Amino acid sequence: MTRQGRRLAAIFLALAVLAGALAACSPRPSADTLEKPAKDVFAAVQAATLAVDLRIKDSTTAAAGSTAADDMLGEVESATDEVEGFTAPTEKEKSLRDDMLATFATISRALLHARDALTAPGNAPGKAEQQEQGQSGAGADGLPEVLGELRSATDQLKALMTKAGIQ
Amino acid sequence: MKRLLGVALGILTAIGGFVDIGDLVTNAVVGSRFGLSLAWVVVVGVVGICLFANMSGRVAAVSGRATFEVIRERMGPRAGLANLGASFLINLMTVTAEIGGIALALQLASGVAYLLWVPVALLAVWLVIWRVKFKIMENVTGLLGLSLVVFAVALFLLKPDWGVLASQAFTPSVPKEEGAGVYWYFAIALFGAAMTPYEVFFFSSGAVEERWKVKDLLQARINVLLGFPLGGFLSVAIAACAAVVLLPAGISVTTLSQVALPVAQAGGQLALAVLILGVVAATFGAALETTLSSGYTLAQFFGWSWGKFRRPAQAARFHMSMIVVLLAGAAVLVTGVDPILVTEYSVVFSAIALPLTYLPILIVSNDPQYMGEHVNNRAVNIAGLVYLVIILAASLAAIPLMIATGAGA
Repeated sequence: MTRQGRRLAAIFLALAVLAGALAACSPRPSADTLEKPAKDVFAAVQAATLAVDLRIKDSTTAAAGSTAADDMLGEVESATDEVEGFTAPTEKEKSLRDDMLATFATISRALLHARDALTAPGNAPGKAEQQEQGQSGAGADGLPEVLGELRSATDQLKALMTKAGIQ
Repeated sequence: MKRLLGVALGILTAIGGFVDIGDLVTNAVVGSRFGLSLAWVVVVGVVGICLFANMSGRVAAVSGRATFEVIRERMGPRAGLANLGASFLINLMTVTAEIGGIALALQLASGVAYLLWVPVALLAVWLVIWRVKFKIMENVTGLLGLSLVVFAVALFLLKPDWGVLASQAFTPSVPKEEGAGVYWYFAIALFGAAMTPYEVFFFSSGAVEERWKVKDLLQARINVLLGFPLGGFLSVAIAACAAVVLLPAGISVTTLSQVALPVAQAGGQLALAVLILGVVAATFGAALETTLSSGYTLAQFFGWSWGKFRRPAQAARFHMSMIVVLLAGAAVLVTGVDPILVTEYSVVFSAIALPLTYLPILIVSNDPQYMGEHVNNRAVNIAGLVYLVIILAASLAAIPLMIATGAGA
């Protein structure tokens, strides 16, 4: 092997060791490591629930409500990215991570519905008209339904947090 | 009568001008995580800013020159450069945060993505700096910023358990969900938000813009001693609203839209509209102040012609530097960086840079060559020294705490 070849091999070896070390350093799913993302998502879904509730009571505007839902969607995306980065070598850890990601996905869906419903203007097409147009998304009058969806997603997250031992 | 009106107007603008995006976000974050257990920091910060704003206003009124100009002359270019470097970087971060704050508030009003509002905010700030007279600019934004009183009104409408709030405020303790490190990290952030360096430089340069004389010092003192504490009261009201609505629901503030939820809950759409007006005015006013402060410090260090009392053509470098600062702030924002995150970091870095700002002010305000008989009295010097110790402790602890707590995560 030439000198240049040896140097190249050494660099590759160093990079491989570094990659291995980084992989080994990436957090594993546990009550401790999942606490922050789970709490962030919990806070996000609670804030969106409050925004939808306020919109139903006509206490907030469509713009402020949809901005809140959109912001919270961003928070859930960040938490999802964080949990996706966790390595789960054992079945138990993998199952915990996957359950958490599935719950986050349910919450993301609920938040998307909330955002759509909050964005729908006051004079949005009614349900009958929406059905005529083949739309299934929640309109402004679908807010109570969205609120239920958000609450059910919150309960799902709470149950999972309890199961995982997150206070 | 005219003088009385002037004093009233001064106090009102000082209240309205006290709260900026840093105060708004940091107080809401703290309220949603710690309740009112950090309210004491606001009190410490307000007393500190009153003390040093008074000093720098006195330097400007007595010497007829802005504090930074005097610091550079009195302490030499090296010390001046250290001061400039620290305060200018903090200013740049704060300008970015304030423009982001305007854009976020406009998103809250319109539902249109904040990034689309950034160029509008930038243009509006520049136009006002370019065209509008200093006095009008200061009074209009200050008075409209008073709309943030809506937080205090909302707090009463929320009918909180006052006993619980008082207990949190007067017997502060670290909540069991949060570590002591995080508690002290946010204490430093709140302190930095209350004592941002741009405020004193703007205050003293503004004194020169408005041609204060020694006889105006009494009015300036009243404005500061009444206006800033009442502004501090607004800060506590922001934290209290978050403590009453968001803390029990497990919502820790990360966005401006969350800050608005308690106000909407308390007062409905009308209160929300007043809040958005207040946030736009407060952040717009602070964007003007920080941009001007950047121009002031640069021009005063390099000896350029400066001031809004001069036509832009007579202070070309001063105006050009402000355009560059505004463009740099907007450029940072269009990368997609979260303006709230910039705000959170700016208040902590502000705390780090505090000694470089406030030590020279204390030195200059004790120099009889500039101040004559108006040097600090003994009580002010003792208070100033006590604050320097606090400032130094906050500055030294900020970075280790930031690393140890993952920036308060």
